[in-house]
Amino acid sequence: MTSLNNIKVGDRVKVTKLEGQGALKRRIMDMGITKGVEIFVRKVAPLGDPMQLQVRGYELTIRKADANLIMVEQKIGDKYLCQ
Amino acid sequence: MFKFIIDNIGTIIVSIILLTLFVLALVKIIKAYKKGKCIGCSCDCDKCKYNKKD
Amino acid sequence: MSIKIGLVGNPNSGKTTLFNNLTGSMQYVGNWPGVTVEKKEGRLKNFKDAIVVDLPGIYSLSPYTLEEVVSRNFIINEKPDVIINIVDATNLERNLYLTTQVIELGIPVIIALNMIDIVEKKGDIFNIEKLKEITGCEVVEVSALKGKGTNEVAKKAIEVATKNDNCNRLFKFTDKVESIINGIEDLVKDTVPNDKLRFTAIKLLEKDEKIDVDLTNQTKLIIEDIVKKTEKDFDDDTESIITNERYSYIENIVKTLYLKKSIVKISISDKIDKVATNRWAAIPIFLVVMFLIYFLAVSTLGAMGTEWVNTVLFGEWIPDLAEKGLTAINSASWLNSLIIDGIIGGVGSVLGFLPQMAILFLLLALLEDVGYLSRIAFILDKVFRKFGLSGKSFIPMMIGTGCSIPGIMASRTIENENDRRITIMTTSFIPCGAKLPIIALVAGAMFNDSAIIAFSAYLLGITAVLISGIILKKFKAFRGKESPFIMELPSYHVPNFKNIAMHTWERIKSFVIKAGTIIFAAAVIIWFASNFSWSLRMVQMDESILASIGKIIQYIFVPLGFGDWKSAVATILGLVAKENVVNAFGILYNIGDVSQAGQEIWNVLPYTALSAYSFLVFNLLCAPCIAAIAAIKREIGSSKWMWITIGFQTALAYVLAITIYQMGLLFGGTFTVYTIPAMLLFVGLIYFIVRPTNKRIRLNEGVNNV
Repeated sequence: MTSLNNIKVGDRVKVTKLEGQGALKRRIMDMGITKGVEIFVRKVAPLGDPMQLQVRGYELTIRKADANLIMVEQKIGDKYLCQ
Repeated sequence: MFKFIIDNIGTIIVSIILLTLFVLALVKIIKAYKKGKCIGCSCDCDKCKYNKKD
Repeated sequence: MSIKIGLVGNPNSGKTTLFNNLTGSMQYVGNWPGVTVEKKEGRLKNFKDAIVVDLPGIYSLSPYTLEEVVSRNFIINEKPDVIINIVDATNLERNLYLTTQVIELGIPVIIALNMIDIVEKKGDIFNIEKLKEITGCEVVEVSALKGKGTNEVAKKAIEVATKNDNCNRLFKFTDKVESIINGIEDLVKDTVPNDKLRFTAIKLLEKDEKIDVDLTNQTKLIIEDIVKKTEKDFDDDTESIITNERYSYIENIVKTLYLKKSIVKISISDKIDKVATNRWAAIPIFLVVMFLIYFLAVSTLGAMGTEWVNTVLFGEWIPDLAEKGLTAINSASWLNSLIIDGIIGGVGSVLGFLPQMAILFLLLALLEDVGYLSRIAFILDKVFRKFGLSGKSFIPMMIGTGCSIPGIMASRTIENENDRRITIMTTSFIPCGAKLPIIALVAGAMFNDSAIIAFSAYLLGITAVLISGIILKKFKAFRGKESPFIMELPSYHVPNFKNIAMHTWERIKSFVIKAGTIIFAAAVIIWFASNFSWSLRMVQMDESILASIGKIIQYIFVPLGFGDWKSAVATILGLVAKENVVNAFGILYNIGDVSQAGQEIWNVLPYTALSAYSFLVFNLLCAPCIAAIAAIKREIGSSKWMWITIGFQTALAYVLAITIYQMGLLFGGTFTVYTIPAMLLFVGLIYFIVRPTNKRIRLNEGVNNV
């Protein structure tokens, strides 16, 4: 299992757990990032940060430091892979 | 004295008009500042816009 | 009895457009989250006695951000009769997440399903009946942009409000969680009104700190126990449990509501983004775009317009007309002077810049409408963070290119106190619309309408913001944890020209009104104070009231290259409104067309290119107009910080202007008595920028976990 900030552009992942607490965690969840949701890493900003993700059909940008709190497993083919 | 007024009637009328405009402008400015609004600033402050409906 | 309708929905869901359609008003529709920071009211068109309240866009009813709290409190405390929940059909899951929460508030909700035309255009199918069934709400299809469905929504809202019968179906959690909620409801049902019972119970379970309820200590302890047990059972905090369940439920129902028939192609938005947010090209592209804007607004199109207004309209037609009129009525010469030199000279010189301002506003509005600016916030976030700001600070600054005041107010969307404070303190560095006449004046009179000079003013503003970020962040007062940056990137829009035109027209109108009031009044005062002495006799300008005041102040500006009384006075008058700088120039230098390049100007204005640029720098960066200062005080919360801001900005302006002027002289081989002090000041500035941060402060900032 790795955190979202380590995922490469173009990969699809599934959320397994959310670290953190309080306002930040709530915000991440409010935006649709909850356990089990699929995320597509669309791109990374010109300077390496923040990341742009596709979640539940819309585009979201989030900093790598915040993405660090989102634990995910990668999707390879039709299966999900824990790293 | 009347001669004075008649000779200078143009000046007097225009001066009164200007004075009125000036005072009106001042009043509008003071009222706006009191309400905390920007007066006709080239912005879209919520305060300016929706207060128009009052 | 007045009916109150609340308008609730996600940011970018078309809420404010719908509000405009419902009320016929012209509220500003921005294309990024955070444009609506206060609630706005308007009368419902075609209905007697109904008000619509547009609430800030929110993603949820959590107690964490200002917008959410404002919306929540409005619904709970002001008890609207009905809520219109606008749902973006192209973004269902996240929008419905909010819907499940809004329904719990006990007020009848109707759903305005927006952008359904986009769904259908893609070829997908939407099952509206199913949505009605699941939510128990009336659902009305709308296309806010096209204006369709507005009347139906209004009618339905009034219907539901007057019937006062709530058929909304509450979202039900899984059995285990439901029983826990019911348990809490039982505990508090004596102190909470029936329609708020469920909402209160859920919030208590979530450990919501902003919920307003009277509990005995005993009840509080029991609830705490319940929460602890729940968290242990589910191995997660209660907030997450609730949120997770909502989304799981929604995921399932969305499958029955929305049939995706279209093949997923790369959307046009994404294609544009490939270039606009490209790793290498993005920032250069942004700079080129901004440069082009200034090029068109100040140099080419704008300059032509301004030239006509100044030389023809205010140079010939109006003064000639006035002169003829005044001679015809045989008016006194002092009155002629007041009208022609004072009012026409002053107000005319400001209005002269209207063409350039209009084009600037138009182009900026276009940029906003298309959606490019939220991309910039995304690109620049990392850069901004190095300077102590966040990508979110970019938004107030872009708004500030119109007027600093809404920019300062938009800082409310920045949750982090320190970041918000720094943003408020630096927003007015970005040249606002009122400063454009000064820029255009200097560019026009001294540099032949150069676009580079105008653009450099904008760059200067950004540089000042960045430097300030670095400097301020090194002080303990501004350190703290970094704020999170999670933002939706709405898709690019085909520009809505009606929107842009309306928006630009509003700004132009405001500008003209300002000219007719503040500038007019100031012109009269300036004329009077510069033509009369303290004993109220008409004198030459040099002996007037204004001159005597100016001659005392002028010494401050000598090291900066503009130590004459007229420049000093013009600068001070800029505090009332930045346009007054040009207003004063127009009257004190007695020219109606100061913006034109030409030999006459060089002879009349006592400036060199260098001193003119120094003047520009100082006026651009020093404290903003009173109205903006008042906004700073309101948003930053205290007089103390207001003074700190004014002091900081003016000091920075002074140091930069003196450096530019003295170093400029030095390069030209001239050494003055101020050269050394200027160098010292500059070194001092550099010190504040590069000094190491106190290690102890840095260690105290933990890892980013809120």
